[in-house]
Amino acid sequence: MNDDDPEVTLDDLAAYALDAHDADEGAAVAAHLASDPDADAVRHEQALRAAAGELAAAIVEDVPPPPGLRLQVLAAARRRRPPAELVAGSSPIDVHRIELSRAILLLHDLAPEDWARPVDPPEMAGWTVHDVVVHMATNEALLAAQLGVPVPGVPEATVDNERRTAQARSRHAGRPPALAIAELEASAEAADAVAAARGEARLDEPIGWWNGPTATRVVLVLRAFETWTHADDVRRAVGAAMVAPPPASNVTMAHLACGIVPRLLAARGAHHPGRIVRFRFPDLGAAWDVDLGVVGGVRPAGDHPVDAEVVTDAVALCRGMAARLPVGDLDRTVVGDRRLVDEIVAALPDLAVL
Amino acid sequence: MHRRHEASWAERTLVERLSGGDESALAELYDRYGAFVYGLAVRTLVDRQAAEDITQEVFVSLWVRPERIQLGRGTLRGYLGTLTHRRAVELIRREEARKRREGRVAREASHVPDTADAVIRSDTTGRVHAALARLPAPQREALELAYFQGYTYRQVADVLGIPEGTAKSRMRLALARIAEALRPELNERSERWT
Repeated sequence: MNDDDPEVTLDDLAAYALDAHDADEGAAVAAHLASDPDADAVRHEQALRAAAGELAAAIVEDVPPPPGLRLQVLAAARRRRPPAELVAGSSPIDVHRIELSRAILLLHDLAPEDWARPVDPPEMAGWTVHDVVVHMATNEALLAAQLGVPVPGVPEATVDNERRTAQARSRHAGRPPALAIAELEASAEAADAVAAARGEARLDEPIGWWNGPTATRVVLVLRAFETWTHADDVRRAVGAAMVAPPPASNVTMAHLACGIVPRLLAARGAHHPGRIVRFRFPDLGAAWDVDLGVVGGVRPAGDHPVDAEVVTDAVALCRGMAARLPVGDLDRTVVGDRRLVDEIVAALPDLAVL
Repeated sequence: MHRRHEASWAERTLVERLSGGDESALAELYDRYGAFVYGLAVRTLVDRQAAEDITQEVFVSLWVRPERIQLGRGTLRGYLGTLTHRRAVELIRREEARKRREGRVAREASHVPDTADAVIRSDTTGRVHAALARLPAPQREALELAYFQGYTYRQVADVLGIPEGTAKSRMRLALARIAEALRPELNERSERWT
């Protein structure tokens, strides 16, 4: 592009990129650009327009819109294009990707003063937001390493959760929080790339994890579940509302949660071979029968009688399992063996120490 | 550790979810960027009702036509900035055309906004601020009038009392310096626009 072109000059492109033409002149520039999409002029204009966008992004202060605008926008969007129907849970690969990306975007929005705020989980006494993010990052780095793509600059090699976190916290002490975010992001992107490349066909392959070889699909969902939990820990610390994962991700997480119930009971010495509990989650439109004698023994709910049926909120159940909701606060409706359900509910927070 | 400020993996994931019809992704997009989009619309239009309308248009358009989202250069926030600004200025042009038809007086020059006090969010914003601070005052003035007041280059020339070609040239030089400061992030080879 040069000033020899009589039709559109560099000055014209800049004015166009700034939306500083009147309608007719703007249309003429647009037509010129459209006439040769591969021309240098197109590339120049795109770069200039992108720069203008970054100018706005850097300069313009956020102004909270009127509270009612959010619902108005979402309703208008829904009218124009219906959302995808929730048919089944998301793949573990997608669940992992979504929760990691959501957490990373949250962390990028934190104010400088947020990083030193204390978090409230009892097992994290004395921890700050920065410590939680370091913990998230080191566990994600472990996933990346176990998938064969260790992230450069992460020296922690142990699989032991507590030791690994202690080492990472020591390493990150006094360092800018941006480094912890960068490690988390690099690890998540690397792990996601490998998981996606391997695909659904290899999700049952075991990788080394905290309690020994564990199916990739389980580790991915556990990582997503843990990330969601800690992202909410951060939200509470900075005064933001907790946020549930997308419904399709919830289905996958709740399904895994149900499959873990037999293990939670067994860890307490409670064995109920052959007994079936039906979980109904109205918030997901999902229901499963769980064989308490089989870890992972989850099937779609049938019509046959079961030992107990419990109706509850899936997000609340997961939060209970993460020890982020007191199990006494888990609202539920039970038909059948109430004591069996109470035993299950009491065991939910044990996941955190399994 | 150098971090590119192109649209990140996390931002691209959000856009992919949008494309897949995940309504919660649209809600997250609004929650993250709604205040920026509305803020830019208010700054450009002044009229808050009009700013609400533009904000709605921007997010609905993203939802209805996600395939149009271009994340090849810059950040998602920057992309939303370009989208918002274009729609806001289109509204300004329509209003001006209507006023001309009605024989009403063209809008008067108003206070040139001060870009000096915005929050530094990241390396990218720091570089933008540094580039702005280094701009000669005439270039900065022309840029701010054109971009943040929605003036055409002719109106900029009129307000500043300079030839139209000079107005365009100042705008080009100012924007080129911003682009140069962001060259690694915008994935642009060393081109000279100055």
